[in-house]
Amino acid sequence: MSASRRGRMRSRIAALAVAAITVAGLAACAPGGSGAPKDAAQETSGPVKLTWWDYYQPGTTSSDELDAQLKEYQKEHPNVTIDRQYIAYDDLKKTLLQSAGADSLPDVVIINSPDQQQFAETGIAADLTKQLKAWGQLDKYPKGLIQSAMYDGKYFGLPITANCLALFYDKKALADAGLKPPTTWDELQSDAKALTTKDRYGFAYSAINNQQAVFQWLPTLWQSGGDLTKVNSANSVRALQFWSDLMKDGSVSKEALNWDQTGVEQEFAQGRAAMMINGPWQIPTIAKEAPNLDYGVALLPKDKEEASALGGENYMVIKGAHQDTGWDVVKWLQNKQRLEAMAKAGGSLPVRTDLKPFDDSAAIATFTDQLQVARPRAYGANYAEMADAVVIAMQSTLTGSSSAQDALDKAATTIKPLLPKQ
Amino acid sequence: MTSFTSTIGRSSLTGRPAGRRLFRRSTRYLFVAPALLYLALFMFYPLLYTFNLSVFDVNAGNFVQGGAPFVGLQNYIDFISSPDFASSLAITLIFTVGSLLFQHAIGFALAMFFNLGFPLSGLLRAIMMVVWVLPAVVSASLWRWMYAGSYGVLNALLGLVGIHSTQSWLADPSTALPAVIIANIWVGIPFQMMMIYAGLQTIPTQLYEAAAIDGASAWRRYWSITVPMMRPVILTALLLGFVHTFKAFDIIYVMTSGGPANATNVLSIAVYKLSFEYFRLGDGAAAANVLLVIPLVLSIIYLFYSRREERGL
Repeated sequence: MSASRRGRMRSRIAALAVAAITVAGLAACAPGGSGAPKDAAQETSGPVKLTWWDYYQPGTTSSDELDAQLKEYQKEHPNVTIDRQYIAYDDLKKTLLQSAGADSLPDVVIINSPDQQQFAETGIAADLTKQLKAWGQLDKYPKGLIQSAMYDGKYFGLPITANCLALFYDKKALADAGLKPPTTWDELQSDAKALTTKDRYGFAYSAINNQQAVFQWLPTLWQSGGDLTKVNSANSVRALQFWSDLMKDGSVSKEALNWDQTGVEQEFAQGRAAMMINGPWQIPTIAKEAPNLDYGVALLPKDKEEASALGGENYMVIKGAHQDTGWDVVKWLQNKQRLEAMAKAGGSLPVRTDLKPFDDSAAIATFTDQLQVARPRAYGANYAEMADAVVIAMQSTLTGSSSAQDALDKAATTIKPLLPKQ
Repeated sequence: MTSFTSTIGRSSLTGRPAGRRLFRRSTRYLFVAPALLYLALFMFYPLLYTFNLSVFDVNAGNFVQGGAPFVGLQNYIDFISSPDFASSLAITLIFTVGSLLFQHAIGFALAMFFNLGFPLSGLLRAIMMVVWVLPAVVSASLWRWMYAGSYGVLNALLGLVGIHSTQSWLADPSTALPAVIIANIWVGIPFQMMMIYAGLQTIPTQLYEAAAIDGASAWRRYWSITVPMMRPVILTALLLGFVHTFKAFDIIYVMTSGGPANATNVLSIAVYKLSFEYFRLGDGAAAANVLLVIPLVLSIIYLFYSRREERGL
């Protein structure tokens, strides 16, 4: 092949490539929109196939219980088949969004409650306000819980499980030091110091580089009278300074920056921390890992206010042709016995005031008390990004690379434009 | 190639000469069509789609419902002028250059060593490759465990030589980046080693023998034979290593997710967070394109350079 020929060939290939790019370019337009929710079509009485997504890992007690309940529903409603699929927690939000873009959304999803508002904003969640009002049982749900399912004054879901944070303490360690569980910040600080020994820290919290750390710190922030909406106020700064002082005292390990809430639980279960902040879902784990550990649960120490952070999962029904069937399943699952069975399987606190706690231990009773002052992370659709800004401020302060005021000033500039417009 | 296309033309077409010419001409394009189609589908389309996303203010809501407003280059301006951009870029460059220098130097030394061809060298080389084959999540989890404070392997080793340390290497902003770089060096050595080793195999041994007879020292032989002969391989290995390291994501994400306090927040993690945690898809796409620029410029320089080399030969 001669050089000139090769040159001609090359230029033709280039021309083809340009043509291909141009064609693709012509197709370019405002992205997205393919998943624009269809108007809810009237359900016919024919067979309905519901797709169901959740992140309850197969083989866990929660997953088995849910499976059993959904089977029962299908037995009672022979025209409905439910195809339940497991999506890992880390992938759920991403997968939902991608499916929304590709128009292949499921019909019912169980999501982490702080994510509900973000999905309400995307417009993929069905507005259940009318159905819930007609159902007439909204007054059975604690205020904080139902708030987590609300966006813009409308209802987009219902809780399935609920939890909050409280103070776990090693009974023996406290008795040896002649202490009672702390009830104020000052007591927490002095007790934590007194309980710290050569091979044990007095206290443990999670300050890991993700949202779990924010979940753990929010109770302290709210107790101080601060809030994410005024994250660099004097009270908010005081709340972060308090956590930083606990670490500076040596009462909390510097490794808290690496611990997620499970990591914190392991420190406590293995006797390397005398007290910790954690949730009721750890109770079955501690029973398994440290069956001989004699521990108690106390309300979180208070400052100006009492507060805890509310967690849990909500049902979300996706807008579309199957939304009425989806709502029917959710309503059916919100039955007293079924919710109590779910709570027992997942170590959850009662999501309704008419439910009995899943066991009559003192720990669960304390958690149920704590739940009454627990607040949801209802900060609108941008919570994930706000939480990241807070984590950076927390870690900068805890590692001493910035003062609490400077770190939170920086966080405030990030957070301010992300807050929902009033 | 010409005779081949005309054979097909003759055997399958008995029409007018003009038609035959047309067919003959179009067969050329048919031959390149699969490659072009592949490029269009898997290269041009994603690139254009990303560019398209990057000039709209796309968030979760309007991604689903449509109607994202066109914002021109605003997403790029926002990303580059954000307070964290300069530090992220610096961290990315430190991570890349720091990793690559050592990966390459150690990989080169090991390749020279294996090139001696001692017994079992093949087996040892294969074992070294395991590191490269391991999923990044596995290597990263291993290193996380080694760097842990109270139960970490590193602190235990330091204890053996009499240094008492409870340092949590990944939780301290001043040690997190070096710690991640060291882990990444370990991961990247086998690739550099294999590239260099393959190159070394192509150098005729007579050159070394002749030089040795002329009295050239080992050092002299290295600088005057190995390095010049290896230049194209070294450049390729460095370029591929740079591109691969510059966009490294999984190892850092598993070890620190960019923390503590943003100390290891490389650009790829910033892109991931924008797109898949905050769902700011427009900003994320713009950031991804910015991340593309540096490796792209380097690749172009490399292409020009290697073409000049080729012509020189």
